[in-house]
Amino acid sequence: MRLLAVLLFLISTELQAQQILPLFQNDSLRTFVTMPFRLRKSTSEGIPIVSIKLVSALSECKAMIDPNITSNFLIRCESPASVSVDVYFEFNGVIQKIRYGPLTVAQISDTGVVVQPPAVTDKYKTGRELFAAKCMECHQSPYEKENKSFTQIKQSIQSVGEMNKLNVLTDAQIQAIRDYLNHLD
Amino acid sequence: MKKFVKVLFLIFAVTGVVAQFQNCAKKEAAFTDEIVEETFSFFSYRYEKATPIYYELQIIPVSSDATYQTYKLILFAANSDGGAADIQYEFEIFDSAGKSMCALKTGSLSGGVSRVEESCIALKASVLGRALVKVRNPGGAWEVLNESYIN
Ligand code: HEC
Repeated sequence: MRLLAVLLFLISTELQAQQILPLFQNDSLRTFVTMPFRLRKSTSEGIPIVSIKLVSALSECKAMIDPNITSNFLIRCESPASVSVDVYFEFNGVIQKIRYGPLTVAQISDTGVVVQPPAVTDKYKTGRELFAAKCMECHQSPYEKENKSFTQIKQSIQSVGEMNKLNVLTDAQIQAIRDYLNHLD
Repeated sequence: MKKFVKVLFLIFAVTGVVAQFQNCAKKEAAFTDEIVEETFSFFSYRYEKATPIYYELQIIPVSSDATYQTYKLILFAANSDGGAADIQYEFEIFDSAGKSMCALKTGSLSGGVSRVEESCIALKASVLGRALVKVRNPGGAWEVLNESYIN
């Protein structure tokens, strides 16, 4: 009996070490709202997330890691849904997983109508998204690299040690980033 | 002594079983980047640096008569570090000519409250043009969202 208690204790402390904290309260888990969550230690320090994957409501919702705060992830749904998500993180050098949910996301209003800002249809969408995904971890704002040329970007990927890992970018992708950086508002 | 050996054996057995699964998740992690890129536009992710506060305004037309249109304005906000600091807010919506549609709404969220709802009665003829939302922790700098609703 005591043995079982010891084991349960060991297992539970192991599981409690990491937890997912919804940053919005239940009354804010609604359609169209970008809902933030945080993976943290019981000491409330954030844990970087390696990857995230929806395991339900795939057609209603999407999930992404906040590119600027890697301990946080965001979920947004366009229809009511019951959402579960797998959150992967590194612990003691191994990838671990927490399954979070199911979480009920209700309709934001009975009338169902929500005024949305028009979809960003700008020509430089690809470049903007690439910059956000590939560059913003180090260059916090596109204005920091405004009007850079293709050659400048290409050369910095080769010559700046931190940027070497970006040599996977194709020339077309670099051109898209260049086009975006040359057309900031 | 016998009991101790039993306990030790059990602990080994359990860690052994757990260890079997340690690497199972590894393969799936490789998909991160594609998922991030694909979902960026869905979220219209707008923060250019680590934001101290996540916030957004949802505008919902609720009812109307011949002259007036009533909107429900819902502000959602929370500290990005999960902390309990108060969040002060200000928000206002403007028509397509830049004229305020309702009075500026101001207030403060505390105790982890992440939602505040305000009602706005506007002239039916006016077209929603823009929303201005500001949030901050007391004493901090304002985070500003200036969202356009016209193409
Ligand atoms: C892992 C960190 C990291 C990433 C990711 C990164 N950079 Fe850099 N980058 C640096 C560092 C460090 C420097 C050298 C210091 C500086 O100039 O800011 C640099 C320099 C540069 C330069 C040359 C200096 C200049 O301003 O002319 C350019 C251009 C540049 N980066 C563009 C980019 C673009 C575009 C991306 C995305 C495709 C990117 N970087 C991604 C770290 C990074």
